[in-house]
Amino acid sequence: MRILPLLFLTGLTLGLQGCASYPPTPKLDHYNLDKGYRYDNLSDQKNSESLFVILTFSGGGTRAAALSYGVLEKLRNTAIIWEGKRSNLLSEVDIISSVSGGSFTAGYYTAFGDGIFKDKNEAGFQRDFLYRDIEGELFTQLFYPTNWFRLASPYYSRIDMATDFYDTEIFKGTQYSDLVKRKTKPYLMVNATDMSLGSRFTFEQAQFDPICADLGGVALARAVAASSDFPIAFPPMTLDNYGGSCGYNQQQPGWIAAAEKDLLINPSRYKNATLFKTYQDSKQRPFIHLLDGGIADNLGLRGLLQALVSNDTELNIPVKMSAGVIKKLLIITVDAKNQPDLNYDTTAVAPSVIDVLKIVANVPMDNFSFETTEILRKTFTELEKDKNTFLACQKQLQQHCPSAVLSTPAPKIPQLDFVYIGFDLLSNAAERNKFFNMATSFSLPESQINELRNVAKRLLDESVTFKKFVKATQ
Amino acid sequence: MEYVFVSFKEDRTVLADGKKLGQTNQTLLIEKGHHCFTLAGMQNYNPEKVDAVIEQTTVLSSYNVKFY
Repeated sequence: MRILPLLFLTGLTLGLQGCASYPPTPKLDHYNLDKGYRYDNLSDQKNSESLFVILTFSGGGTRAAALSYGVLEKLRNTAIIWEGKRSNLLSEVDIISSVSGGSFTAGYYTAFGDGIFKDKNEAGFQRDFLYRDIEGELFTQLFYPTNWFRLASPYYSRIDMATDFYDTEIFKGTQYSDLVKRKTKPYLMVNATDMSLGSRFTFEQAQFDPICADLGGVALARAVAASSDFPIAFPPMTLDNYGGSCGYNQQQPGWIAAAEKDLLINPSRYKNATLFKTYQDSKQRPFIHLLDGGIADNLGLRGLLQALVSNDTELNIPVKMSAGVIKKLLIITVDAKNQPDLNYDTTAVAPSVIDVLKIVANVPMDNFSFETTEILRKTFTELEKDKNTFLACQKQLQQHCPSAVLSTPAPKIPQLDFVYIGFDLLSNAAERNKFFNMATSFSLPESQINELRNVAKRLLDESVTFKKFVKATQ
Repeated sequence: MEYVFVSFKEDRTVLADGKKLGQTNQTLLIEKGHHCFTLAGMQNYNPEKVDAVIEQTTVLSSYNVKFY
């Protein structure tokens, strides 16, 4: 008789364990550019494309989420008059690209709009995420017996448990199909890292097309969890790949075949094409494993950088520029990076394995971020230079040979502005170090969160480029 | 960035690699590399397509693609 309860328990355990799995990635029946979460499928009448505003939010746990939240608050309070219409700068934001901690703020604002600004005493972002001990609550989840059974399954891991928690507690079941229905901007680009390729994997339909998956049925919480899937703390997140089943391979974008010839003249374009092609083969890669977006790009800027100079992406910003649609383009990058720890070099004792892992995870990421902002600045400078060269040449020609005209018209290059918000801009060393030394965690003291929100506003106020930009739109 | 100028007798949409790039008779921004140029709409132009490698252009000397 004693064997019966044992059999029952074993059966229950196996049953619960067998049921537990990551949510299957929804399958895309037919590749269709007119459907799905794509920039061109949004039609926000309140937001003009002539004033094109892009925000990028970096990783860095709650430190990053709070800093980017402060930026949103400041933009909401920045009045502008654009094309005769009074509004605020936040309502003109076209795109937010985010990584890890910054993805919580970006995702919440995209899903709930101004609802993000509710006071922490009400249900909303402040109460449900920013001022909450998310890390502690996730840890507590590990002690729930139901989670023991689920976590025993090889198909359900701590990252899926975290996703369920974010979905219920923060994003309230929001799916990408809800963002498609809303049709309003900003367009959200949540960035994770493809673990095998080490490359950026953005949650947008264009990225899901080659794997024949429908982003519409994916929970926003899943994108945010993938974006903040910090290695070792969480196992990688799994997506199903159905590549080859939706007609994408037969109608693949023309740029892929063209870019495959570019190994020598444009290696980055060639690389993008070869990476994209790996997704189309679901026999070789039936699953895709994702990790924190910070591994590929901790600023969330690389995808936009590509969209800015390339016609291959769906965003295709050069076309909007050439058509003269964009008059002013502003990119605000919010970087919550902390400081390299020089204390290791004060002793001859070799740092521990944990310390080495910390360094390996952070320092290359920061160096890469520095390079990324430099490339963006250089791209803007070169475009401005081209615009000025053409104008100067035209002026000279008019002065010295008034009857002559240049053989081609001027390219339509908008005013380009880049604002970087990071702690290294703080001139006071003690204050700078205070922010640099704030922990990378999903739980920060209330006082630190308030300081982060305030410093974001102050850094924008002190930015010469931002002040000039705002003045020109008032 | 590179610059391309696609000339045609009328105002038409220019496609690069099957995707909208801009309008004919305008200076257009394009990424360095191999591209296949066509025009959208009626096939009343020649050649049917132009394959070109776009590199080392400047704002004053764009790559010229001619359709007739």
